[in-house]
Amino acid sequence: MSSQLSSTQQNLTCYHCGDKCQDHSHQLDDKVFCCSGCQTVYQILEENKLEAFYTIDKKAGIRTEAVDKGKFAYLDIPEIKSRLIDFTDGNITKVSFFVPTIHCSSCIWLLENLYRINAAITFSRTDFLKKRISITFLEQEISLRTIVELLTSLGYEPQLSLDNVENPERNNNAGIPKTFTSHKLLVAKLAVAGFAFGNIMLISFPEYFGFDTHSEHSFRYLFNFLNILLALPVFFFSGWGYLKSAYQNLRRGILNVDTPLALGMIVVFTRSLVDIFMGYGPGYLDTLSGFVFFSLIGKWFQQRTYDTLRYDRDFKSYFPVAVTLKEGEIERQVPVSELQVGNRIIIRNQELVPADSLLISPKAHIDYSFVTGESMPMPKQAGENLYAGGRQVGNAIEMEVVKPVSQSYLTQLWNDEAFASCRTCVSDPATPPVTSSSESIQNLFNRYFTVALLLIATISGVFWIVQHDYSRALNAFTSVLIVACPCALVLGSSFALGNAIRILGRYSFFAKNTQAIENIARLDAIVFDKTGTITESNTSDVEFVGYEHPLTDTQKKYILALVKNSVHPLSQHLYKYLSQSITSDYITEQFQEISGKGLSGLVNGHQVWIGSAEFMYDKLGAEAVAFHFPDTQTTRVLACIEGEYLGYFQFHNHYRKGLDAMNLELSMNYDLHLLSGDNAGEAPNLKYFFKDEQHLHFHQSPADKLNFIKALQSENKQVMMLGDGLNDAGALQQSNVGVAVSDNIAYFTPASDVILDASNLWFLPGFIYFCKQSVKVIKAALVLAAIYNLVGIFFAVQGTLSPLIAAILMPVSSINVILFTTFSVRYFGKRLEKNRHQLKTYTFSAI
Amino acid sequence: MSIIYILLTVSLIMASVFLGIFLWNLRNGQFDDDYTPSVRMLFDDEDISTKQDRQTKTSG
Repeated sequence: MSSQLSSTQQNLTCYHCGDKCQDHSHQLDDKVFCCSGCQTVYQILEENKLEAFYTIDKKAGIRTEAVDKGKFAYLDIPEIKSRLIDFTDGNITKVSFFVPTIHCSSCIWLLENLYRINAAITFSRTDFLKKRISITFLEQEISLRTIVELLTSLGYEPQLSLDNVENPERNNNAGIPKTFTSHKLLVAKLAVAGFAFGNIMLISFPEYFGFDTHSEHSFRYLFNFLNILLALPVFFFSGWGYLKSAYQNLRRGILNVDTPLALGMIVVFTRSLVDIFMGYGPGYLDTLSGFVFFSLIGKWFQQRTYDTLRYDRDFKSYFPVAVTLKEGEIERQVPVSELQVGNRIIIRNQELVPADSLLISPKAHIDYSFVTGESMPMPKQAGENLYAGGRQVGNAIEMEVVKPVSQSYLTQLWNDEAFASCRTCVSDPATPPVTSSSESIQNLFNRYFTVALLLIATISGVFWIVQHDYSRALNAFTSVLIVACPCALVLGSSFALGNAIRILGRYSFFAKNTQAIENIARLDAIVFDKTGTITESNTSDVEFVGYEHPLTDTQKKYILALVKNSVHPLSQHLYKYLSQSITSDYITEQFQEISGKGLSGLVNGHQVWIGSAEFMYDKLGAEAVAFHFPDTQTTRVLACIEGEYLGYFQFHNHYRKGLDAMNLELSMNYDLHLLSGDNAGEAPNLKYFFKDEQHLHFHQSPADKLNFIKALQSENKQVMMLGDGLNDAGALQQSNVGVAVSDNIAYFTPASDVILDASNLWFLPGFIYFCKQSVKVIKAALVLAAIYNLVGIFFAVQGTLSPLIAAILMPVSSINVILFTTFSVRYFGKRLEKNRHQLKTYTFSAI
Repeated sequence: MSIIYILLTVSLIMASVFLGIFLWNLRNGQFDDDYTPSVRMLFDDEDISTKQDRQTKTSG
């Protein structure tokens, strides 16, 4: 074992999570760990004889951070608890959580063996695809809080936010399994329609091929009776949704996709009943059940959703469930919704400020990147205002609430700006919505289709009336409506776009619905947010600019030893940067941190100063005039050892890989813009990506971003907005296609049409091209379906459409369209993969 | 040929029963999670007895 250890010395990886280890400081049973968190998890598992966790999947562990004791104290509040729990009888309690970190079979195994860690947990089940765990436990022996703390300590922190606490039914589908959700109802309808379709078709065969003469009468009677019996559930259960939707739309004066479907259904059903009861013929019941069946297939295919993703988050999803309230010397947890003006609250490291407040603690570092796009955390002094949505970095701070949650700056913005545009277009039909031009091809086609259909039916009817052939007139009129049912048309778009969504999903490009794919196909302009979207959050490129000489290794070691002591984000960045090349064993004495300015300390007997220009000014006085920078746009940290000025560290945003190639390709066809809440310090670098400075827009507030999108749209442009944080939420909502770019898909993303994994952002041109091709496939499918319809109509207008022709034409055209769209979209999907592969080798080898 | 009456009725009844079973399973959540069970069945259960004890306790 020891030889194995020494051989891996160069490349130490954590036994639990597989990350690189810095040193041997965390070691147990011959195993090395990267942090105490991982070691603790290993200990828990080892004590409970659960080491099998490590044998199922390699490096399965999730790196855990130390959790604050009080973080989940709010789970002891009865009202929050009751909203989370699915069922309880006082002792046996069931609860289910969404756990985004579930990622492998080891996770399933561990989470289903929780009872071995704590006997009060009687049962636990995971749903891997939904990333959900259901737990049954004995409430008198273990509290909900302890369970959540246990899960968190193992690295499986459940996602608990204000949103799912306030809408318990939304996330508790797993808790109440014995009901039909809308998706299940569709499957049930599909099953019934398919069942009836198959049986009616079989029963109708003898009719089409001819009975023998002596048994004809009695059989025909039975077969027709059975057909009607089977068609009833198709009409009243499976197809009811279409009738209802068509009726509701008709009352509002809208012809939608369902109008011709419903019209066809009613005509076929009545005509068949009349035919059968009057003895005219066998009716078209197989056609009826067939087209309900195929239409439902299309709908079912289109309804594919990504269960773990949510596209409709609002600000509530971002805010914590509860917050620590301080009353005198007593601290207790209250739900955020109960916060009142004047309350004193405590916000710990990495917690969000839930409401606009006044800082009481002497200092704080608030990271507003989520709200404003400003990439560096801002130092705040006592008495300053803190806006909701900021995240504290560093020690716990105390503050006084000045506005209730619902009236905070951020919430206000959300309520007034972002969704105002949606509200006006719903309430005021006179002004067409901005997105009117992005109506789906299907809807557009359908509007003309319905009108054309009625026109043809009437003309052929009138034609035969003029010929005084009245029965044929009625026959022709109804036949046209029967045969020209648009289900082949509906299927074309459902299958093409459904397949497209599925293929794009493989590349972590998750479209909310098929409309999003169509909108992407007709874009004119693409707008990027900066921080977190095209830059990587939490990493900066650090560069040292020497005053006279570059830094020597000894000087670097002194600086490293000093910044080690500070939790300020810039110090952390600097620490990360320096520790890449060197290590330092020096100990810092007389360490001092002057908030918002800099650090000073004695390292190995040398006085080291690190900080802002202002800080150096204080230290060195007049001498420091030499390094006063007129354009302090970029973030700089100056370094001084023994009173000698050495130079400064410059912090640049770290841009995502492949950005230049992507923008070059996009700029050929699209109008590219950058909106940033940050200062213009990065303009020289960004100019390279966005042609010239006219396309760069800095100091943009969330409202500015929204208005910018509106301005582009008023020039009749279809705009795609890519953003990541709350500050982009309004713009994402306003744009024709809002793309939320996220480093971790399972976590926070603002409301959007598409959720895109940041690691695949570079391939955006490929995704757009693919969407365009999918839309072309739909158009081809429409032509194909139209040809079948024309053949049918050819028979129908002559009044010679036999039930047999209708029964053959309908499924053949539908299946043909399904096969055509599926195969062509898959073909383009294969081409997409090929392109991606080529581009990847090209783009990433060049760097 | 009158055997057709019986055959047709029997086949329709059988088909309806299958449809009924499918709908029942759908409602009960049989098709909710079609991935996890495939992983779960591969785990070794070292102490099946204790697990079963617990399960009977909760359901009872």
